[in-house]
Amino acid sequence: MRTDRRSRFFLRLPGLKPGEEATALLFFLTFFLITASFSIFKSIRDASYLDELGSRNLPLAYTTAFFVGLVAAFTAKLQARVKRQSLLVATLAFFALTGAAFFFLFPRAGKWLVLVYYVWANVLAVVLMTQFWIAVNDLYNPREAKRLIGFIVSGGILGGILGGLLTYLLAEQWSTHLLWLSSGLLCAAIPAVRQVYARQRRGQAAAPPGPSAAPQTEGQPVEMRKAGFKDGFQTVWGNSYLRLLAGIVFLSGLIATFIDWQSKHIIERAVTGNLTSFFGLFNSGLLVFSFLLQLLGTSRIVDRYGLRRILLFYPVVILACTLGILVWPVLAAAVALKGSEKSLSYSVNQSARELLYFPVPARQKYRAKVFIDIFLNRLSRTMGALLLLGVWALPWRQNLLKVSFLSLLCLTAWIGLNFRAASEYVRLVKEKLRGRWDRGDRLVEIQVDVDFAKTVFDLLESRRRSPVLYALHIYDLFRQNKLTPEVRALLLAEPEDRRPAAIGGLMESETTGPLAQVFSAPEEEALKRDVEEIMALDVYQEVMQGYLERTLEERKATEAVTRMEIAKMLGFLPDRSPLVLRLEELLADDSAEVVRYAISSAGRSGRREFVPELTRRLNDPRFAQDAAEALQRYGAKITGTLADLLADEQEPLELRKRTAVALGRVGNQEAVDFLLWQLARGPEDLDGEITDALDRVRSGPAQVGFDSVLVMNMLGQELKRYYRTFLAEAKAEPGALQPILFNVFKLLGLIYVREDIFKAYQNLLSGTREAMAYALELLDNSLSTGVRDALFPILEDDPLRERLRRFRSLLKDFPELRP
Amino acid sequence: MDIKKRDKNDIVIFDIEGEIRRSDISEVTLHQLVKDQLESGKKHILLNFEKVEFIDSFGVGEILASYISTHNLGGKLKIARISKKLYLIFQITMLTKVFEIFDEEEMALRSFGRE
Repeated sequence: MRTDRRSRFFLRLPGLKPGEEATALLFFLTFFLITASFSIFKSIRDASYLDELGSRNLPLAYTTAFFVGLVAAFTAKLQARVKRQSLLVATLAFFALTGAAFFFLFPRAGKWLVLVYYVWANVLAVVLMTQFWIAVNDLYNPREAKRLIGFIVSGGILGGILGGLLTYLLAEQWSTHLLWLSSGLLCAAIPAVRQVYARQRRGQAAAPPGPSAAPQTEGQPVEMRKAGFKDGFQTVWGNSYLRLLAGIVFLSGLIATFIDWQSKHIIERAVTGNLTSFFGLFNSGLLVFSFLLQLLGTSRIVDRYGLRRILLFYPVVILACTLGILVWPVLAAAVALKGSEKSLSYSVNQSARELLYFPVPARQKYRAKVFIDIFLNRLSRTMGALLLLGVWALPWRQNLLKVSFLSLLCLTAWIGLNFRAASEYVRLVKEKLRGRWDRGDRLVEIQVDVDFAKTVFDLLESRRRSPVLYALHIYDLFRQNKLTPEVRALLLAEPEDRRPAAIGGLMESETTGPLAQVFSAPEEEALKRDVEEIMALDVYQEVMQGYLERTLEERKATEAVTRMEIAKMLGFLPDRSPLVLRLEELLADDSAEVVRYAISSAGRSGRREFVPELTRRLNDPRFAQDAAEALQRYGAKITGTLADLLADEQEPLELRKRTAVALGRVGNQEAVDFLLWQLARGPEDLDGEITDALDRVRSGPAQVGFDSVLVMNMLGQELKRYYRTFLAEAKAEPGALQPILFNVFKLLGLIYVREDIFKAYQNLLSGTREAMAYALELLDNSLSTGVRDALFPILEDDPLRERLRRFRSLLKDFPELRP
Repeated sequence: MDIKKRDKNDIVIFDIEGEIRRSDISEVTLHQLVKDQLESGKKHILLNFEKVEFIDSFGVGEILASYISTHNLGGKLKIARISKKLYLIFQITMLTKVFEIFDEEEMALRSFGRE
């Protein structure tokens, strides 16, 4: 009971799901302690530096960032060789001990120690933060990360607030004794880290083997153990997306350096009291703001606005504040600039940046992070410092203005890179997903020439039944230009003893071997032309009319194969030939084979007289497929008739369903418009077939448009149907809901990129945990806000109670759906 | 195209030689020759294609027109010794169902005798 109550409490925290509470809380706690400690170290760092060396010497401190990068790269090498847990614990212990050591060094050393301490504090920040986030990255997939990063970051922000407040309150009395406090906080993080890894080991032992097991963290593969700075550089250099991320980090590092100098330059002049205390309060205050932002907004903002807009939010705010400094360079403007830079970098930007890494394969990600976050980030600070010195050297005296303009320039480039990164991110997520299957009918259409295959099978079947039928099939292949070498080989493969040596044999036995010899002559075109011309002759029509009358009037005495021959031949006659109308009798023949041939020829003729019989045959399961294919041959001119049939409620439901399929086969704009209209009109019994027919059109090459308003209306109806079905049967069988969900995705495919939508659907349906996460990520980045809000409660793996609550709420207040 | 006429009993045999094509129409067509025979009371016609090198749709039209004329007068028109290619065309157009086609002239003549 206690556990349940506790779980329910934690589940109220944003994004947490059952089973995730303990690890997430341990990460929260670890980050809390690390940042609380760092906040104290940092306040001492900034205040002591300004006190001893002043803001004019800040570029010297910034240039040490490169050294920090080198130290960090060295620890990265260790990271690649030593187990994650051991390294993180040892690092925490190292900084706790050395932090305490500074307590003894400060009173004895001169000004130079301030610079050493500055470097030390920066090394602590970069090494600990990187190790911590690599641990988080290893453990969570993109969806989990998206939900949980906000929560974990909140821990860091809370820690920073506490550290800042303690510094503010105690700085006057405790002075450097604060170093003991922050070292103690680092020591306290060690058991939390050990617990995280202990839980992970237990989880891995319990998890079934397979692709859905959690990502690897502890025992790295051999190639990862070898990773270091050089590997990291090569990895980033060889991958355009990683180069893009590197560019973003580099520019953000430059800008952060400029902002740091701009703000400290103003603070140094404006603040007259204890600087350590001021920085404590300032750090604490900006983290309170960050925390509120995080608690109230970050997860929601990231969820709601997607990565693209989030990536732009941060630089745009900084841009606005930099313009503020240009106009009004006072303490408030400096606090606003530094405050927004820091608070947003801890919250929104941190979340967005971590998300950007998720489509990168684990091995590359690890190597790239080592290079970008540890080395390049530091290098950018050093470059920032050199740029500052360079700008100051310019003749214009107003250093603050010069730096502000430089910052604006970099911000513009940064925004551009963020735009590109967002697009690349979506592309990579798409690449992560493999389309598992395509529509069966389309697949058959692409891979198999159905008409050809049927003719070849009929050809072989007719071989011993009737030489005339056989010849007609071969002519059919001629007409389609499909008498391929393979078919020729098949025809010539007839055993020698069956091949008549002369024309007499051919006529007597009526076998067909010599035909193949004729085909081998390069006279196909001439033959085709001759036959067409003969069939167009009036005398031919007259002769055949007599033959048909005799044969069809004595139908009972005629063999079915003869009627099949006639049915086949009539399909080759010119459309205007009155003889073609004899197909009407054959369409009603007793023999299914004759009817099948007649349906095919009726389709070829494209004559209106056959439409009633063809549509009637749609309702006969034996001929439905043939009839649909024949009607498809009519093309656009059959659309109206089929539309009337589909709309006629007096017609049997099965016939109307097959009519929807036939309309989908026709697949022109008129057919699509009518199918959508009918879908909107109801009844629901036809929804599945109509939606499928529309999807068939969408999956094909035809360039047709889909009325987005109608589609969105229908999508809304299907989604509501899903909620209602789920609520009506709270233990909803997946079988009952699956067709509705499939319809939802087919409708989405009409408006959005079908390939993406179906990739996502298929991976959600049968993919691994990782594939499902990427599928959701793809949808998240593809769909509009309203559609996401309505669809994601169905797709996300929420507890039953939460799902029921969300569905009820959505039925009451359904979002407006826009493409 | 060169057409020679022979009589055997009451059967008129036309030995056709060369090519029967639209571009090679002589003053007297095959159909005209058959009609002449029909008008003179001969109702059993045999077309011998042994020496026919080529026949186009016009040629087939001539044969068909001859068939109709013969048939309308209650006569019989049969064909002997056609090429494989023409036989294939006849099969595709289902004219094998209409015409009686023989491998040898003798067999064709005998078939007239049996009727």
